[in-house]
Amino acid sequence: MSVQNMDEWRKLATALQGLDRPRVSEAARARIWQAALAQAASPRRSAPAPFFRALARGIVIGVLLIAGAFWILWRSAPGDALYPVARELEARGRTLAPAGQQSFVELQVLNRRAAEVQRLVQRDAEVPQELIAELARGANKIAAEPEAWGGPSAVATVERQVSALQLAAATQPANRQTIGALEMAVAALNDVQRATTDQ
Amino acid sequence: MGPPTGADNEAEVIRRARSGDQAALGQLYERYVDAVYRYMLYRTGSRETAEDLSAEVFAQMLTAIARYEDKGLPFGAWLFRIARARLVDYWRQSRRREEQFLPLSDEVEASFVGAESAEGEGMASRGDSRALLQALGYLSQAERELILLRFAAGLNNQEIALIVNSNSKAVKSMMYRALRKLREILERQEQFYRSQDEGRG
Repeated sequence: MSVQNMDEWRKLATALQGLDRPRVSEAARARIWQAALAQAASPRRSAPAPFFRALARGIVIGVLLIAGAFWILWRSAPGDALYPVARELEARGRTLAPAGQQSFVELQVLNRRAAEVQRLVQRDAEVPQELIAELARGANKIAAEPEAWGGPSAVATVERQVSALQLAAATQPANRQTIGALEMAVAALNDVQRATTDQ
Repeated sequence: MGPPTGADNEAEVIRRARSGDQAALGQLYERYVDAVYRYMLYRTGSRETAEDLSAEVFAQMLTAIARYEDKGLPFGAWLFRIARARLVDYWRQSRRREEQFLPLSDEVEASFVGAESAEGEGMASRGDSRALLQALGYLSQAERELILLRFAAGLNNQEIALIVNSNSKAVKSMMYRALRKLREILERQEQFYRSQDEGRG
Protein backbone atom coordinates (compact mmCIF):
# COMPACT_ATOMS: atom_id res chain seq x y z
CA MET A 1 0.00 0.00 0.00
CA SER A 2 1.47 3.33 -1.03
CA VAL A 3 2.02 6.20 1.40
CA GLN A 4 -0.66 8.21 -0.37
CA ASN A 5 -3.05 5.29 -0.02
CA MET A 6 -2.27 5.06 3.67
CA ASP A 7 -3.02 8.75 4.05
CA GLU A 8 -6.34 8.35 2.32
CA TRP A 9 -7.33 5.45 4.56
CA ARG A 10 -6.24 7.41 7.65
CA LYS A 11 -8.28 10.38 6.53
CA LEU A 12 -11.31 8.12 6.00
CA ALA A 13 -10.86 6.53 9.41
CA THR A 14 -10.71 9.96 11.03
CA ALA A 15 -13.83 11.08 9.21
CA LEU A 16 -15.67 7.88 10.15
CA GLN A 17 -14.80 8.41 13.80
CA GLY A 18 -16.95 11.51 13.57
CA LEU A 19 -20.01 9.36 12.93
CA ASP A 20 -19.72 8.18 16.52
CA ARG A 21 -19.86 11.74 17.81
CA PRO A 22 -23.39 13.09 18.20
CA ARG A 23 -24.57 12.36 21.70
CA VAL A 24 -28.12 12.83 22.78
CA SER A 25 -28.50 15.94 24.92
CA GLU A 26 -29.71 15.50 28.48
CA ALA A 27 -33.05 17.07 27.61
CA ALA A 28 -33.55 14.82 24.57
CA ARG A 29 -32.39 11.80 26.58
CA ALA A 30 -35.09 12.45 29.18
CA ARG A 31 -37.67 13.17 26.47
CA ILE A 32 -37.02 9.91 24.61
CA TRP A 33 -37.14 7.87 27.85
CA GLN A 34 -40.39 9.46 28.97
CA ALA A 35 -41.94 8.87 25.55
CA ALA A 36 -40.74 5.24 25.60
CA LEU A 37 -42.21 4.68 29.08
CA ALA A 38 -45.52 6.23 28.02
CA GLN A 39 -45.70 4.12 24.85
CA ALA A 40 -44.79 0.97 26.75
CA ALA A 41 -47.52 1.69 29.33
CA SER A 42 -50.18 2.11 26.64
CA PRO A 43 -48.93 0.14 23.68
CA ARG A 44 -50.44 1.18 20.41
CA ARG A 45 -52.34 -1.47 18.57
CA SER A 46 -49.76 -2.93 16.30
CA ALA A 47 -50.42 -2.76 12.60
CA PRO A 48 -51.36 -6.09 11.07
CA ALA A 49 -48.45 -8.03 9.69
CA PRO A 50 -47.78 -7.55 5.98
CA PHE A 51 -48.98 -11.10 5.19
CA PHE A 52 -52.37 -10.50 6.83
CA ARG A 53 -52.66 -7.07 5.23
CA ALA A 54 -52.01 -8.62 1.82
CA LEU A 55 -54.47 -11.43 2.60
CA ALA A 56 -57.17 -8.96 3.68
CA ARG A 57 -56.55 -6.88 0.54
CA GLY A 58 -56.78 -10.05 -1.57
CA ILE A 59 -60.06 -11.07 0.06
CA VAL A 60 -61.58 -7.61 -0.48
CA ILE A 61 -60.48 -7.56 -4.12
CA GLY A 62 -61.80 -11.12 -4.59
CA VAL A 63 -65.17 -10.25 -3.06
CA LEU A 64 -65.42 -7.12 -5.22
CA LEU A 65 -64.54 -9.07 -8.36
CA ILE A 66 -67.09 -11.78 -7.59
CA ALA A 67 -69.75 -9.20 -6.74
CA GLY A 68 -68.90 -7.30 -9.95
CA ALA A 69 -69.12 -10.49 -12.04
CA PHE A 70 -72.52 -11.34 -10.50
CA TRP A 71 -73.77 -7.82 -11.10
CA ILE A 72 -72.72 -7.99 -14.77
CA LEU A 73 -74.35 -11.42 -15.11
CA TRP A 74 -77.49 -10.16 -13.43
CA ARG A 75 -77.71 -7.15 -15.76
CA SER A 76 -76.97 -9.11 -18.93
CA ALA A 77 -79.54 -9.39 -21.70
CA PRO A 78 -79.80 -11.52 -24.88
CA GLY A 79 -76.94 -10.60 -27.19
CA ASP A 80 -74.46 -9.94 -24.35
CA ALA A 81 -71.36 -12.11 -24.20
CA LEU A 82 -72.13 -13.27 -20.66
CA TYR A 83 -75.83 -13.91 -21.20
CA PRO A 84 -75.43 -17.65 -21.94
CA VAL A 85 -73.46 -17.98 -18.70
CA ALA A 86 -76.22 -16.18 -16.79
CA ARG A 87 -78.83 -18.52 -18.29
CA GLU A 88 -76.75 -21.57 -17.45
CA LEU A 89 -76.39 -20.43 -13.82
CA GLU A 90 -80.10 -19.70 -13.70
CA ALA A 91 -80.94 -23.19 -14.99
CA ARG A 92 -78.70 -24.77 -12.34
CA GLY A 93 -80.31 -22.62 -9.65
CA ARG A 94 -83.74 -23.84 -10.74
CA THR A 95 -82.77 -27.50 -10.55
CA LEU A 96 -81.07 -27.05 -7.17
CA ALA A 97 -83.94 -25.09 -5.58
CA PRO A 98 -85.91 -27.09 -2.97
CA ALA A 99 -89.45 -28.18 -3.98
CA GLY A 100 -91.09 -25.65 -1.65
CA GLN A 101 -89.18 -22.78 -3.29
CA GLN A 102 -89.77 -23.81 -6.92
CA SER A 103 -92.71 -21.46 -7.57
CA PHE A 104 -90.83 -18.53 -6.01
CA VAL A 105 -87.76 -19.23 -8.18
CA GLU A 106 -89.95 -19.55 -11.30
CA LEU A 107 -91.57 -16.17 -10.60
CA GLN A 108 -88.12 -14.62 -10.16
CA VAL A 109 -87.01 -16.07 -13.50
CA LEU A 110 -90.09 -14.64 -15.23
CA ASN A 111 -89.49 -11.24 -13.61
CA ARG A 112 -85.92 -11.36 -14.90
CA ARG A 113 -87.16 -12.11 -18.45
CA ALA A 114 -89.47 -9.10 -18.26
CA ALA A 115 -86.55 -6.92 -17.07
CA GLU A 116 -84.44 -8.20 -19.97
CA VAL A 117 -87.08 -7.14 -22.46
CA GLN A 118 -87.20 -3.66 -20.88
CA ARG A 119 -83.41 -3.42 -21.02
CA LEU A 120 -83.34 -4.38 -24.70
CA VAL A 121 -86.02 -1.83 -25.51
CA GLN A 122 -84.06 0.86 -23.65
CA ARG A 123 -80.99 -0.06 -25.69
CA ASP A 124 -83.03 0.12 -28.91
CA ALA A 125 -82.06 -3.48 -29.55
CA GLU A 126 -84.31 -6.03 -31.17
CA VAL A 127 -86.19 -8.27 -28.73
CA PRO A 128 -85.71 -11.92 -29.79
CA GLN A 129 -88.91 -13.80 -30.53
CA GLU A 130 -87.84 -16.63 -28.21
CA LEU A 131 -87.88 -14.18 -25.34
CA ILE A 132 -91.34 -12.90 -26.32
CA ALA A 133 -92.63 -16.47 -26.50
CA GLU A 134 -91.09 -17.26 -23.14
CA LEU A 135 -92.94 -14.34 -21.53
CA ALA A 136 -96.27 -15.39 -23.01
CA ARG A 137 -95.72 -19.03 -21.98
CA GLY A 138 -94.86 -17.94 -18.44
CA ALA A 139 -97.98 -15.80 -18.14
CA ASN A 140 -100.16 -18.67 -19.39
CA LYS A 141 -98.50 -21.14 -17.08
CA ILE A 142 -99.40 -18.98 -14.11
CA ALA A 143 -102.93 -18.41 -15.39
CA ALA A 144 -103.46 -22.19 -15.71
CA GLU A 145 -102.90 -22.77 -11.99
CA PRO A 146 -103.03 -19.37 -10.27
CA GLU A 147 -103.46 -20.87 -6.77
CA ALA A 148 -100.16 -22.76 -7.14
CA TRP A 149 -98.22 -19.51 -7.62
CA GLY A 150 -99.19 -17.76 -4.44
CA GLY A 151 -101.73 -15.02 -5.30
CA PRO A 152 -100.51 -11.40 -5.20
CA SER A 153 -96.90 -12.10 -6.17
CA ALA A 154 -98.15 -14.10 -9.18
CA VAL A 155 -100.39 -11.17 -10.21
CA ALA A 156 -97.44 -8.78 -9.93
CA THR A 157 -95.30 -11.07 -12.07
CA VAL A 158 -97.90 -11.38 -14.81
CA GLU A 159 -98.38 -7.60 -14.71
CA ARG A 160 -94.64 -7.25 -15.35
CA GLN A 161 -94.89 -9.66 -18.31
CA VAL A 162 -97.73 -7.59 -19.74
CA SER A 163 -95.78 -4.30 -19.28
CA ALA A 164 -92.70 -5.78 -20.93
CA LEU A 165 -94.72 -7.11 -23.85
CA GLN A 166 -96.49 -3.75 -24.22
CA LEU A 167 -93.07 -2.08 -24.48
CA ALA A 168 -91.93 -4.64 -27.06
CA ALA A 169 -95.17 -4.26 -29.01
CA ALA A 170 -94.78 -0.48 -29.01
CA THR A 171 -91.37 -0.77 -30.63
CA GLN A 172 -92.42 -3.55 -33.01
CA PRO A 173 -96.04 -2.66 -33.88
CA ALA A 174 -95.98 -4.74 -37.06
CA ASN A 175 -94.77 -7.89 -35.33
CA ARG A 176 -97.74 -10.21 -35.11
CA GLN A 177 -96.05 -12.63 -32.80
CA THR A 178 -95.40 -9.90 -30.24
CA ILE A 179 -98.97 -8.62 -30.48
CA GLY A 180 -100.28 -12.17 -30.09
CA ALA A 181 -98.07 -12.76 -27.07
CA LEU A 182 -99.31 -9.53 -25.51
CA GLU A 183 -102.93 -10.57 -26.02
CA MET A 184 -102.24 -13.93 -24.41
CA ALA A 185 -100.50 -12.28 -21.46
CA VAL A 186 -103.37 -9.82 -20.94
CA ALA A 187 -105.85 -12.69 -20.96
CA ALA A 188 -103.66 -14.55 -18.46
CA LEU A 189 -103.52 -11.49 -16.24
CA ASN A 190 -107.32 -11.26 -16.23
CA ASP A 191 -107.57 -14.92 -15.27
CA VAL A 192 -105.04 -14.60 -12.48
CA GLN A 193 -106.68 -11.45 -11.12
CA ARG A 194 -110.07 -13.11 -11.16
CA ALA A 195 -108.76 -16.22 -9.45
CA THR A 196 -107.03 -14.18 -6.78
CA THR A 197 -110.18 -12.13 -6.11
CA ASP A 198 -112.29 -15.30 -5.86
CA GLN A 199 -109.95 -16.69 -3.24
CA MET B 1 -21.38 2.00 22.14
CA GLY B 2 -22.11 2.88 25.77
CA PRO B 3 -19.67 2.80 28.68
CA PRO B 4 -16.91 0.20 28.54
CA THR B 5 -18.50 -2.43 30.71
CA GLY B 6 -17.85 -6.13 30.49
CA ALA B 7 -20.20 -8.60 28.82
CA ASP B 8 -20.79 -10.35 32.14
CA ASN B 9 -21.88 -7.11 33.70
CA GLU B 10 -24.31 -6.52 30.83
CA ALA B 11 -25.69 -10.04 31.21
CA GLU B 12 -26.39 -9.30 34.86
CA VAL B 13 -28.08 -5.99 33.99
CA ILE B 14 -30.21 -7.73 31.37
CA ARG B 15 -31.17 -10.44 33.86
CA ARG B 16 -32.38 -7.80 36.31
CA ALA B 17 -34.11 -5.83 33.55
CA ARG B 18 -35.99 -8.95 32.45
CA SER B 19 -37.35 -9.33 35.94
CA GLY B 20 -38.68 -5.77 35.77
CA ASP B 21 -35.93 -3.89 37.61
CA GLN B 22 -36.46 -0.26 36.58
CA ALA B 23 -32.91 0.75 37.43
CA ALA B 24 -31.52 -1.98 35.18
CA LEU B 25 -33.84 -0.93 32.35
CA GLY B 26 -32.61 2.64 32.80
CA GLN B 27 -29.01 1.41 32.65
CA LEU B 28 -29.63 -0.39 29.37
CA TYR B 29 -31.30 2.71 27.99
CA GLU B 30 -28.34 4.89 28.97
CA ARG B 31 -25.97 2.40 27.41
CA TYR B 32 -27.67 2.24 24.02
CA VAL B 33 -29.59 5.47 23.53
CA ASP B 34 -26.76 7.35 21.79
CA ALA B 35 -26.10 4.53 19.34
CA VAL B 36 -29.77 4.01 18.49
CA TYR B 37 -30.35 7.74 18.13
CA ARG B 38 -27.30 8.17 15.86
CA TYR B 39 -28.42 5.29 13.66
CA MET B 40 -31.88 6.84 13.33
CA LEU B 41 -30.45 10.32 12.76
CA TYR B 42 -28.19 9.25 9.91
CA ARG B 43 -30.90 7.12 8.30
CA THR B 44 -33.65 9.76 8.45
CA GLY B 45 -31.73 13.03 8.48
CA SER B 46 -34.14 14.52 11.02
CA ARG B 47 -33.57 14.98 14.73
CA GLU B 48 -37.25 14.96 15.53
CA THR B 49 -37.89 11.72 13.64
CA ALA B 50 -34.78 10.16 15.15
CA GLU B 51 -36.09 11.00 18.64
CA ASP B 52 -39.54 9.60 17.91
CA LEU B 53 -38.18 6.40 16.41
CA SER B 54 -35.68 5.96 19.25
CA ALA B 55 -38.55 6.27 21.73
CA GLU B 56 -40.45 3.57 19.83
CA VAL B 57 -37.41 1.28 19.90
CA PHE B 58 -37.01 1.64 23.66
CA ALA B 59 -40.74 1.29 24.22
CA GLN B 60 -40.54 -2.04 22.44
CA MET B 61 -37.46 -2.91 24.47
CA LEU B 62 -39.47 -2.28 27.65
CA THR B 63 -42.38 -4.43 26.56
CA ALA B 64 -40.41 -7.25 24.94
CA ILE B 65 -37.35 -7.61 27.13
CA ALA B 66 -39.03 -10.29 29.26
CA ARG B 67 -39.05 -12.48 26.15
CA TYR B 68 -35.42 -11.74 25.24
CA GLU B 69 -33.06 -14.68 25.59
CA ASP B 70 -29.42 -14.55 24.67
CA LYS B 71 -29.41 -17.55 22.38
CA GLY B 72 -26.46 -16.39 20.31
CA LEU B 73 -28.09 -13.01 19.73
CA PRO B 74 -26.34 -10.30 21.74
CA PHE B 75 -28.55 -7.66 23.31
CA GLY B 76 -27.17 -4.89 21.04
CA ALA B 77 -27.99 -6.89 17.93
CA TRP B 78 -31.48 -7.65 19.31
CA LEU B 79 -32.08 -3.95 19.95
CA PHE B 80 -30.86 -2.93 16.51
CA ARG B 81 -33.10 -5.51 14.90
CA ILE B 82 -35.97 -3.68 16.57
CA ALA B 83 -34.53 -0.35 15.39
CA ARG B 84 -34.29 -1.61 11.83
CA ALA B 85 -37.87 -2.90 11.91
CA ARG B 86 -39.14 0.42 13.29
CA LEU B 87 -37.33 2.26 10.52
CA VAL B 88 -38.90 0.04 7.86
CA ASP B 89 -42.33 0.65 9.46
CA TYR B 90 -41.66 4.38 9.44
CA TRP B 91 -40.83 4.42 5.75
CA ARG B 92 -43.82 2.24 4.96
CA GLN B 93 -46.25 4.31 7.02
CA SER B 94 -44.97 7.62 5.71
CA ARG B 95 -44.97 6.11 2.21
CA ARG B 96 -41.41 7.29 1.74
CA ARG B 97 -38.22 5.61 0.81
CA GLU B 98 -34.83 6.34 2.23
CA GLU B 99 -33.45 9.42 0.54
CA GLN B 100 -30.37 8.80 -1.52
CA PHE B 101 -28.92 12.01 -0.16
CA LEU B 102 -30.03 12.84 3.33
CA PRO B 103 -31.47 16.32 3.59
CA LEU B 104 -29.19 17.20 6.48
CA SER B 105 -30.28 20.32 8.26
CA ASP B 106 -27.66 22.61 9.81
CA GLU B 107 -28.51 21.28 13.23
CA VAL B 108 -27.93 17.68 12.13
CA GLU B 109 -24.68 18.65 10.52
CA ALA B 110 -23.71 20.57 13.62
CA SER B 111 -24.45 17.58 15.80
CA PHE B 112 -22.32 15.44 13.53
CA VAL B 113 -19.38 17.83 13.32
CA GLY B 114 -19.70 18.91 16.93
CA ALA B 115 -18.70 22.26 18.34
CA GLU B 116 -15.48 20.89 19.74
CA SER B 117 -14.27 19.40 16.49
CA ALA B 118 -12.65 22.57 15.28
CA GLU B 119 -10.08 22.44 18.03
CA GLY B 120 -10.25 18.71 18.70
CA GLU B 121 -7.07 16.94 17.71
CA GLY B 122 -7.43 14.12 15.23
CA MET B 123 -11.07 15.01 14.68
CA ALA B 124 -12.43 15.52 11.21
CA SER B 125 -12.78 19.10 10.10
CA ARG B 126 -16.24 20.45 9.25
CA GLY B 127 -15.38 20.18 5.54
CA ASP B 128 -14.23 16.56 5.87
CA SER B 129 -17.37 15.63 7.79
CA ARG B 130 -19.62 17.25 5.25
CA ALA B 131 -17.74 15.48 2.47
CA LEU B 132 -18.18 12.16 4.27
CA LEU B 133 -21.92 12.65 4.68
CA GLN B 134 -22.15 13.53 1.02
CA ALA B 135 -20.04 10.54 0.02
CA LEU B 136 -22.26 8.19 2.05
CA GLY B 137 -25.05 9.20 -0.28
CA TYR B 138 -23.24 7.55 -3.19
CA LEU B 139 -23.22 4.17 -1.49
CA SER B 140 -26.00 1.66 -1.89
CA GLN B 141 -28.50 1.45 0.96
CA ALA B 142 -27.03 -1.83 2.14
CA GLU B 143 -23.48 -0.45 2.14
CA ARG B 144 -24.55 2.69 3.92
CA GLU B 145 -26.36 0.65 6.54
CA LEU B 146 -23.27 -1.44 7.23
CA ILE B 147 -21.11 1.66 7.62
CA LEU B 148 -23.61 3.26 9.99
CA LEU B 149 -24.08 0.11 12.07
CA ARG B 150 -20.30 -0.21 12.34
CA PHE B 151 -19.24 3.39 12.92
CA ALA B 152 -22.34 5.23 14.16
CA ALA B 153 -23.75 2.40 16.29
CA GLY B 154 -20.39 0.86 17.15
CA LEU B 155 -21.35 -2.76 16.43
CA ASN B 156 -18.89 -5.42 15.35
CA ASN B 157 -19.16 -7.48 12.17
CA GLN B 158 -20.68 -10.46 13.95
CA GLU B 159 -23.42 -8.34 15.53
CA ILE B 160 -24.08 -6.62 12.20
CA ALA B 161 -24.36 -10.02 10.50
CA LEU B 162 -27.05 -11.02 13.01
CA ILE B 163 -28.96 -7.81 12.36
CA VAL B 164 -28.87 -7.97 8.57
CA ASN B 165 -29.39 -11.76 8.49
CA SER B 166 -26.03 -12.52 6.93
CA ASN B 167 -22.77 -14.05 8.11
CA SER B 168 -19.78 -12.20 9.49
CA LYS B 169 -17.52 -13.17 6.56
CA ALA B 170 -19.95 -11.69 4.06
CA VAL B 171 -20.35 -8.59 6.21
CA LYS B 172 -16.59 -8.21 6.46
CA SER B 173 -16.02 -8.37 2.71
CA MET B 174 -18.98 -6.10 2.00
CA MET B 175 -17.71 -3.66 4.61
CA TYR B 176 -14.29 -3.65 2.96
CA ARG B 177 -15.82 -2.96 -0.43
CA ALA B 178 -18.00 -0.20 1.01
CA LEU B 179 -15.03 1.45 2.71
CA ARG B 180 -12.92 1.24 -0.43
CA LYS B 181 -15.76 2.76 -2.44
CA LEU B 182 -16.17 5.49 0.16
CA ARG B 183 -12.45 6.26 0.07
CA GLU B 184 -12.50 6.48 -3.72
CA ILE B 185 -15.53 8.77 -3.66
CA LEU B 186 -13.85 11.03 -1.12
CA GLU B 187 -10.68 11.05 -3.20
CA ARG B 188 -12.61 12.03 -6.32
CA GLN B 189 -14.49 14.71 -4.41
CA GLU B 190 -11.22 16.14 -3.16
CA GLN B 191 -9.73 16.14 -6.65
CA PHE B 192 -12.82 17.88 -7.96
CA TYR B 193 -12.70 20.63 -5.33
CA ARG B 194 -8.94 21.01 -5.80
CA SER B 195 -9.34 21.45 -9.56
CA GLN B 196 -12.07 24.00 -8.94
CA ASP B 197 -9.84 25.94 -6.55
CA GLU B 198 -7.01 25.86 -9.06
CA GLY B 199 -9.36 27.06 -11.78
CA ARG B 200 -10.36 30.01 -9.61
CA GLY B 201 -6.76 30.75 -8.65
